[in-house]
Amino acid sequence: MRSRLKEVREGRGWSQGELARRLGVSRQTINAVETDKYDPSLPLALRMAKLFGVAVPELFIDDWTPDED
Amino acid sequence: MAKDESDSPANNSRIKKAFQLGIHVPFWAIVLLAAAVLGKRGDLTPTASEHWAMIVGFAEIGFGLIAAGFGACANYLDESEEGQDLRRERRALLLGAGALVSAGSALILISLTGADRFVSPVAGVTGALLLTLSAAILAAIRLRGMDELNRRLALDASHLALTSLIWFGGTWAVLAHVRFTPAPDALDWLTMLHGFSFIAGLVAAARRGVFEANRPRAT
Repeated sequence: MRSRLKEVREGRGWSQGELARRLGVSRQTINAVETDKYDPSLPLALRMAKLFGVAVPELFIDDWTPDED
Repeated sequence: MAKDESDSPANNSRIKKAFQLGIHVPFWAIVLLAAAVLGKRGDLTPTASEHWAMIVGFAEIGFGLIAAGFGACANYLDESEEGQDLRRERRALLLGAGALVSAGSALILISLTGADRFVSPVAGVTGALLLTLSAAILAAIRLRGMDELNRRLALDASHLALTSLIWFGGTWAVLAHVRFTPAPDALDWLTMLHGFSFIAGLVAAARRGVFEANRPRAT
């Protein structure tokens, strides 16, 4: 899964620390998500999407496609 | 006193170094002194198991003191992101430091304990149990305040430590069973538990980029 979090965060002019504070997580968590080293839990992904006013698939891109029967 | 923003990383770096030196220099000086005094008692030469237990114990204490140094200096850093980060993480750093120092001390104490060793069995076992209990309590308190990445790191580390113990300790036990090698002592199992848990914690954190995230940045 690829994260667009960094791009969206920087678009708002927020630092990692600022985003971490708003979401109630550590800055390491934001860094790990942005560098694709950690996939956030569903509740955190939903909170991120809500904070930026976008849908979860706009923040996190999954290249998986279902098999065509 | 007004702070020059351009000096911020350098000032922070100096403060962090001062705290690390202030903690590590006296501690390691005492350790070296104690080792020199105890080393003179040639009749009590440590076995290989005791040596390894001490190495792992001191590694735990050393890393615990590094974490303590960062936690202790947090309030003296400026308002940069690094300073704010350390202040937010201060409690977790100090709790983790306490847990590591307690765990390492327990292992060292046990390695010095025995009927013909430096510490009597009753005193050694009582002390080691109390230290282990305090490490467990501090780690549990820290776990309660963790966010989801750090909880995940704890799980990753536990899994890696157990897998490593099964492979390394298991292989050793198999080889010992067929008399290819001497069997691991009880102290060796304790050392392996501590050592693999400690290394696994570092590996899990590195894999998730935690050390990278903690590196001071220009902005």
